[in-house]
Amino acid sequence: MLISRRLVSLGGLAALCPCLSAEGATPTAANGCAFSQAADSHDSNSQYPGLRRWGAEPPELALAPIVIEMSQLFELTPVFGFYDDTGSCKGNALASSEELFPPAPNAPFKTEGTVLLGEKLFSNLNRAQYQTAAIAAVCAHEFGHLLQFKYLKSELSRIRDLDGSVVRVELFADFICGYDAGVRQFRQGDYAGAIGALNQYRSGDLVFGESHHGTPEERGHSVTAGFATGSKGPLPPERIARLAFEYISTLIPQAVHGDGC
Amino acid sequence: MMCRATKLFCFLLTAFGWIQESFADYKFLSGNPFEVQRRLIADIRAGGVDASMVDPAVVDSTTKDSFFAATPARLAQLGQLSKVCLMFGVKYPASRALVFRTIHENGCGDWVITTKETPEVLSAIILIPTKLLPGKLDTCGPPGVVPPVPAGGDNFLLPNDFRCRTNSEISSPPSNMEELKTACRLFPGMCPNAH
Repeated sequence: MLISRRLVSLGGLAALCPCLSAEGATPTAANGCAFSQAADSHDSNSQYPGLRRWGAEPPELALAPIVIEMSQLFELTPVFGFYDDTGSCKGNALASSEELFPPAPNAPFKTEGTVLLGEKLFSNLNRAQYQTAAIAAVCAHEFGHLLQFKYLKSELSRIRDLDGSVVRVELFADFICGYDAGVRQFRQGDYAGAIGALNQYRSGDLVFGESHHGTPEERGHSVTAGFATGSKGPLPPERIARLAFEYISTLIPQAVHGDGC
Repeated sequence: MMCRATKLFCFLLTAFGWIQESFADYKFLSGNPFEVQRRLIADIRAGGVDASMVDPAVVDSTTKDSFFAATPARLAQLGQLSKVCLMFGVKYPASRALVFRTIHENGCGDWVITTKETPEVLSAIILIPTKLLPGKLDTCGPPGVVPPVPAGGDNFLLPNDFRCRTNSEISSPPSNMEELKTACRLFPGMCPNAH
């Protein structure tokens, strides 16, 4: 039966996407993940309380079509999962180039990296108006980090080192977040893509330093820049990664260190 | 704007072509999909689907045991049906797939029901049983299966939310639009219909 061969087993997709890189990125501000310079030689699973695979509650079905579409759009097949992010203010999400769960038996494809959504973050998103767009925006941001790991690892590391901050690395992921919303709106005229920009805007911070993710304006503008690209239709993943890199390469953050005044 | 405000309802109308009046056969698109799903389960339990109303492959998938089969034995293991949830739908060029989760006394059934549009005939049935979570009576584990997104995704619609929708909720009023209005005020370029 043709359809059964084409069906996607969510057991295979049930992978995480924490923002950790092989270099050991760490979760920081809401809706983001950050590279860290520390070596990641520890057991990565032990640092995420409440770590579990995706899918233990019915609302998580919401992720299924979102993740599948993004897997196609970005040609990446991360494992998704959840962790306890109650220690953070607004919740958090992460992406990692590592496999944080054992491989699913008989998975029809090779998994690439992990995305972790915080329980608190997901719960908040799940109650949000325009829930789909809100969840999709976070996932797309994390896919943005996975694109970094795949195509631009050294370039992004260089920018992070230059800035002494993850701010432009995060704005890269926000650009990808906007790109995904643009592609979705290109395909579905009434898609509420602006919700993603609003949420990233609200996640902006004025806490400058190495974990600074961008001011509200910077985050919102990065999403809209990506949206403008995506709204013309999908591009090959490496191409969009390089466009996002071009965008942040010319970007001068409002402030990286200091009080931002 | 109207469609934006009633996004989920529009989604269901356009993706599933739901017309309440028709209940004949296994018409998930022109009939009430909840009622049809309940009847389909009852028919399988009672000995089989009406072979004149479905593709031959569907008959096989309800009689021959396989990983995806919806056989009477598998339904018997799940036990009495308590709830039918429509999770989302996928529109293909000439057919549509509806994703249901049915809640039973001993577990859940994750279904992908594929039906041709014209004539409206069932072309595939997939069932993946999932276990109830420990201590829960109506909550199951990870989703067992979802249909593939069509190539290009042009006809793939994302509903506004994915909570379990039962028959009585399907035409519930849309949520308010305050968030979207705020977003469009801040980022008008992302809201082409807002100008």
